[in-house]
Amino acid sequence: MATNRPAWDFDDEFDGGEETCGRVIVNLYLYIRCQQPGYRILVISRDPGAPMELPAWCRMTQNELTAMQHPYYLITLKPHLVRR
Amino acid sequence: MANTFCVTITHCKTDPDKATLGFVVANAAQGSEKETMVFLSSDGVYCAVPEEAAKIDEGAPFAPLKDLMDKFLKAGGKIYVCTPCMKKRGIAETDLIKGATPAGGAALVEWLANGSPAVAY
Repeated sequence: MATNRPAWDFDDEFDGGEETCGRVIVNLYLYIRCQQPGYRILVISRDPGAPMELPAWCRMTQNELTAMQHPYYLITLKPHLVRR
Repeated sequence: MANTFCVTITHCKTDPDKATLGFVVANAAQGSEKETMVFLSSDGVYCAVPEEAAKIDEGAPFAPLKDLMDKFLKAGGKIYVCTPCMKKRGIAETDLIKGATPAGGAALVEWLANGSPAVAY
């Protein structure tokens, strides 16, 4: 089920394409692993499991699921590591 | 929450679907910042032989096994290969994919005894 693209502010975009399950996760992990804490990534995943998978991934990795509206997910990278 | 994870895979030629699924989950674990070890035993040791891994492709939505393994290693995952299982099948260390490590039961037991969850395929 696709919805209109939300009007969220973000720094970068990751489109998981038609991949599912672990492929989305590992591709996202490789994409963001050199990016700075606090970056906001718009993740697009059409995987019907994404509403379960991406919140779980955020909880495990301490990335913040700032907003979600499947297939769009706004993720803030490691907000606890941002220097204030 | 544990920071390590283990996937044991006992199939390759005997059940390519299970071999593929095992590496999909291993990618999910490594990609979720869990230090992940895949332990290949029994027929699963063939996954670590490049010529055999190249034959496994379950088709969409799954990537070919070799792609899944390459991505797993690139993400920092570890692949251990049961040495007696290799020996039984005439597989030498030089036959293994780069990044795979021959290992025995003690390596698996140590990993799990340190608190790692595991799933078997």
